[in-house]
Amino acid sequence: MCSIWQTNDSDRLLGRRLFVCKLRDLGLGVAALGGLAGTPAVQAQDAARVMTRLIQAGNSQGGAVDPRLKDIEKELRRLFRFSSYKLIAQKNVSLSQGSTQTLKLNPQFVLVLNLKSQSASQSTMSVQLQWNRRAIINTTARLNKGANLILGGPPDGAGGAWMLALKTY
Amino acid sequence: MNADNEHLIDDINGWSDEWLIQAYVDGQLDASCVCRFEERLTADPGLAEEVGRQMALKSLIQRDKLAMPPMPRIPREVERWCALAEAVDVAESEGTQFDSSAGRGFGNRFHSFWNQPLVQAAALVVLVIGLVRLYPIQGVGDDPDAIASTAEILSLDLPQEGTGAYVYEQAESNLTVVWVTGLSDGGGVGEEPES
Repeated sequence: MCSIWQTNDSDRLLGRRLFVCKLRDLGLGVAALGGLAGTPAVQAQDAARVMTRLIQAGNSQGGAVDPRLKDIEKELRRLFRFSSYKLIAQKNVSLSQGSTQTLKLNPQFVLVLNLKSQSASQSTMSVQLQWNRRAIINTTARLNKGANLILGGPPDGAGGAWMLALKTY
Repeated sequence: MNADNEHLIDDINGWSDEWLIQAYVDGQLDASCVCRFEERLTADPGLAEEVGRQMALKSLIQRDKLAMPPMPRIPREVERWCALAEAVDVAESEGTQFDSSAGRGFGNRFHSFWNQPLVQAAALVVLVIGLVRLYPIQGVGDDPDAIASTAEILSLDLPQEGTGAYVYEQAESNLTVVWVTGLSDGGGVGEEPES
């Protein structure tokens, strides 16, 4: 990119020219990076990354909350009267537009995800939650990046309930 | 010498030779005084020699005064003069011949180019555009946290008979909840949210 010009001048002059040459190369490099970062190919996201967490909520002594649920603990405590929240399973998947993934979270719960559309900040997906081989919820939701969707209700037989947390990131 | 006779000296009685020489060299004596002083010069070789020395000194001063360069008036000229002076010093210290092109090289032109306010303003504009392109300015409505806090239910179907659902969507919360009621597992009933 940069050729050294022929010169018979002193080393100082040559050094100055090399410095200017490096400056020029640096400027071109920065411009190239800027152009690259601004291109739609880099900004666009064709796939959605989804975090799925199966949570068992109950009223056990101590009221412990799994530290891996720290990001939603405050909201869970505000909305529900359960004292403990235990993370039973977590699976992270990457969905491309139009694709479907079936996740078996534990022997009781199966989740079927289908990504309908995807942009840089939003994902629209259809979700089916199966409990004991029965579909209990069919829903389509538009999730902004970082938002959580809780699908819950099935009792755990011990006074608690199951809930599934979906989050795109 | 001087045509304006009114201001010429016509009385030199009591003057020392030093004063007379200066007045003669500077052309301040009138014709009669000059005549008398030149008679002395022909008779006194020492005095003539001193006058000759003073005349030579005066011509030397006048010649050097004409050769003096004008004072630099603008900073660019000052820079050039400084560069020339530096080049002379370097040439003397290194014992090489002075390069008169010093101070007018590419680097100096480059420096002068960047010293222009319009060029600096253009560079600043390009820098700002680049930064904005890399890091888009986010308006109030584009707060990423606000966007991240919402999930919207577009459709909901409950395949199981006898079940119902609560849907909680709160803009200020990062949770959207679909809570199915009426599900039984060995006769149990699902918990409902407190609110």
